[in-house]
Amino acid sequence: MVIDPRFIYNTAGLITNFPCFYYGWQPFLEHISRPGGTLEYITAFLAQAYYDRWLGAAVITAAACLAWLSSCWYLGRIGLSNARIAATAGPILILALHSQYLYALDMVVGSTAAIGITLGLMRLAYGNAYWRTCLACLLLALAYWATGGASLLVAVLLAIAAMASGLTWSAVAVSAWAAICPYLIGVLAYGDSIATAYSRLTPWQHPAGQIKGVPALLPWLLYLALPLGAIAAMVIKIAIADRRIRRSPIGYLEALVACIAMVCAAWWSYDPRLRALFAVDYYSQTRDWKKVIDIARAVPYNYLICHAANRALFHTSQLGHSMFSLPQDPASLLLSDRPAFWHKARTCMELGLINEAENALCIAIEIYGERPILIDGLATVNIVKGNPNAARVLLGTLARVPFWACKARQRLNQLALDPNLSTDPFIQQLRERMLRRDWVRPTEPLPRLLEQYPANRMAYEYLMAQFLLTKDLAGLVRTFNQYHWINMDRTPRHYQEALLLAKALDIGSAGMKGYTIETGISETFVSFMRTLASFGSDLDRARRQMKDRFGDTYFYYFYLGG
Amino acid sequence: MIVRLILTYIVLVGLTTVSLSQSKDDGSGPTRIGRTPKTYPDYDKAVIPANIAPLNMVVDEKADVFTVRIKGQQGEAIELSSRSGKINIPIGQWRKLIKVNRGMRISIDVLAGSNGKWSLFEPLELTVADAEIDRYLVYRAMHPTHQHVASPIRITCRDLTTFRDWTILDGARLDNACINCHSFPANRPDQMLVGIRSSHFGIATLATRPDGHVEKIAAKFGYTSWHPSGDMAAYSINNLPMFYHAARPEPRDTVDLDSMIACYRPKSGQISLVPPLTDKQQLETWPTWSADGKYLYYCTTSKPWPERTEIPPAGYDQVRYDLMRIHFDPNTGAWGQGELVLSAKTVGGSIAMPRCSLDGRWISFCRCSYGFFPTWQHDSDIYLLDLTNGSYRIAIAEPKAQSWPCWSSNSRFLAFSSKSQDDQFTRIMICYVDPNGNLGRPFVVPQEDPLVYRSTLWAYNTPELLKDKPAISANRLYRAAMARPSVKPNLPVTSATPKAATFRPPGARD
Repeated sequence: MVIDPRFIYNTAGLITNFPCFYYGWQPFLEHISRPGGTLEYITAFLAQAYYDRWLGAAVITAAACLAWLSSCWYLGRIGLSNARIAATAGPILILALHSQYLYALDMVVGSTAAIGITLGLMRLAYGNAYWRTCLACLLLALAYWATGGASLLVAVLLAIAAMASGLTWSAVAVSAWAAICPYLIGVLAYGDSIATAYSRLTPWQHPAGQIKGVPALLPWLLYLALPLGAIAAMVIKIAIADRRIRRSPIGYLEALVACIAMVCAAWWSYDPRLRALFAVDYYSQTRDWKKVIDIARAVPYNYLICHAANRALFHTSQLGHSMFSLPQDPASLLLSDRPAFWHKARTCMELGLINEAENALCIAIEIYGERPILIDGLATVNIVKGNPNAARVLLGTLARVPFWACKARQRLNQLALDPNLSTDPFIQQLRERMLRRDWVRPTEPLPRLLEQYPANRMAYEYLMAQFLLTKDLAGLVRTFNQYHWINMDRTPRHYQEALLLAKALDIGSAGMKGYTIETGISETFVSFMRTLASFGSDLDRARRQMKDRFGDTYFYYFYLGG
Repeated sequence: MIVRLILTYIVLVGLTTVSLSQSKDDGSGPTRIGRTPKTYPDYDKAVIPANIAPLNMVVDEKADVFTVRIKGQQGEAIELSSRSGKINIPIGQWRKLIKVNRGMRISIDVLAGSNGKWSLFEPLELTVADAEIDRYLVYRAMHPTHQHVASPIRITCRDLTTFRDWTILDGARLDNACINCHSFPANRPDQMLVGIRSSHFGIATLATRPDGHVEKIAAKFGYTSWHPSGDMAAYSINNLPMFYHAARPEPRDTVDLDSMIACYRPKSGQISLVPPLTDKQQLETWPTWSADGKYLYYCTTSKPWPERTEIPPAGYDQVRYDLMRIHFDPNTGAWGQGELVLSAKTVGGSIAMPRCSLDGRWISFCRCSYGFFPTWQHDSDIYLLDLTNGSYRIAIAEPKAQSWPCWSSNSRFLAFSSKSQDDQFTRIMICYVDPNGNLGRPFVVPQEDPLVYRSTLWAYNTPELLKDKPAISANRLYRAAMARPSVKPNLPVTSATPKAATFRPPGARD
């Protein structure tokens, strides 16, 4: 069980709140000019470390350590140092959040900053000096401007501190001021709605709230763990004091409990299927096809994983050979069932559906924000389409993003020398395939791509895969006869299986004259049909018992699967 | 500050002297390059307003150091030096230079130095117009949106004489609302209409009044034009689904399935319909008032598809709009009958986005091959129609789509959105128009950092030039936008061309 921060950085089209960060004064000034913007800016910068697994891990670990330390200090300051086990809740929840592949660094930094601000204010607000109270209120106003709704946590922690160490009027005043700061600054001064002013950078606004189940609670728990823990500790302390029971030092036990809780949280929050989704998308981006296929083999069918696996199979020349060794569904081939703009763009681009890729990338930017991978893709689309000026704008934007600047500048230099990138093989390949005949209504794109450019091997293999998946043997034979030898010099196994089936069923086989099926495949077919016949009409039993032997054949998919 | 300025001046003069002396050391002087230098943005041959902010630019040539000398026929020249090629012109010196050279030419000499050798390019030429542009430009900044989900969108005001800009309305602060076209009466900032579409705060139009009050009208205003008096605004109600092209350069497209034009009177909060502009067999859109307020110009065509149709309907690419006008009597409020001004057949394309100049002489409009939305038509150019004799001519024919023309209050400048510089990232360009309708070369609105256009995903459109600074406070707009509608007209919010029975006669304000 390993959490890879790179998967969170990549977002996989599943995280919508991962922040973009640009170098320069303008973004900085834009951020600090709004409530909570400073915190957003700092966490956006820190989040860029997720680009690298070790750097990302260092940031997460540092955040967890700071959360723990600040919580310990707070509990110590309010006389609950014996209850420092409550401080371990923060790191445990940070682990759980990352294990669930949720982006919540803003919440982590926000809550830690709130504890830090509380500690600072407690120094000022203790005692009844007017000037200290006024200074504390001023700092609190600044804290709201910097951290947004995270400062509400300050109000709660101050109130708890006031209760724990005896109420003073200044502590109450500061706590009350913390609670009304969002209204005064956010609503009256800045013009926000009340809901926005109070919920900015709080769990209310975290997209995890849209997830069903316990993960939706994680940001809330992170936010409220310390106050709830402190209150519980106070209650227990009072109870223990009432019963005149002396508490024995349990340092080792505390450490043991914390470790067990950590392991439990990690075990509970680890979701291999979720990790596979993120991993498959990341390795697709980095074109590590072997890993994509390996992961896809290890998990049950998933719409997005299946799509990525088919793309990986194509790029390793295995689509026609072993696509049925993986669970398949016709809708996942071109993501035609549910919109998946993030995932669709790359496949569309490689097929030659450049406008569709552009459309998907633009909508993805609207949904996920200015993610570098999307901007990079859009720049490529514009280079292919012969829009070097738009490509320069996109690459110029990318050149302001940490870890992407170097690549973007290289591309810009190439564009300066050759605006068409006429010597770049990838761009040239995409240009060759690019669809040129326009239409505006939903149409089957793959036949159009082949009509225009018969040597578009990806379009050919995807069209054949579509025919295989939809069991359209007539279409498959027709396409095979028309385009196969332009694109391939051998016939992949599944095509042979389908051609054999077409011949056996007398479907569209007229054009197959002279073509012979490999003996092994014919023998497998005979063996498959015999075994299938032995099950009679009990297809469920056939499906279960024939899977090991025939599960990776098209015969199995045709008769028993799909 | 003064010491810094003096030191900077000394360094610049020193650099220039050293560079010139170095070139003399070779004994050959600078090599003359028989072309102008490549710059970004390209301002060469532009005709600029006499009050425009400095035209900061980047010299896009390879060299170790650049020395730039900006000189006019009169006044002191500005000498600048840069290693990066970024030319940031001091605003004070620039103002002085263009002030004394009003109506005259100024030239920009660029000297590029590499390894002690110097190259002198042909000078860039600028003409300072004998007229000033309205000081404020209000525009919409947004990403090139394909399906507005949550992309950023802002209405921004820019002081064209400096680089100062500020946001009037930010969609992000309204729960990622979509903000639609903004409009002002006769280049005055005292009244504004702006549409918002928010999943949280609803579909509405914000109307600001001269007293600073903001109304939230529970109606979606489409393309809007204020009567010059500010007593009325004509707006279109459209049904505009978006669709995509599989292969043409601009994938986005839209069709005006149904439309009509209505009128809003801010004093009474009434919305009324004008019978000739609500014909169910016609599509009527893009209203614009003449300078004297006696005519409402608009674009219209017969509606070639039935009520319920597929999207896009068959023949969507054959629809071409004519330019029409209808007489209006401001005293009695009586409307005349629609009359043809310029037919689509005559101009060989569809007419859209007409705008009347305030001197009453010109109508600028976009001409594209079909449809009503030229921004997404690559062949869209801006034309001028001379109202004194009915002749028309192509005015701005830069590559790619030109759209959203808007006149300055003195009718000497056109601001418009253009894709000629950065493709789908539309930029706002300014073009000088002389009293005879001859146009200068357009130029992009200058920025303090000239590379800002090349490092942001913002696209800019819908320019509106204003004589004065909009006084409305952003917070008032936000509060009004977040509040319940204060004006609820009896007109269906989303449908265009409602049946006669579905609306009550104008006058009822809830």
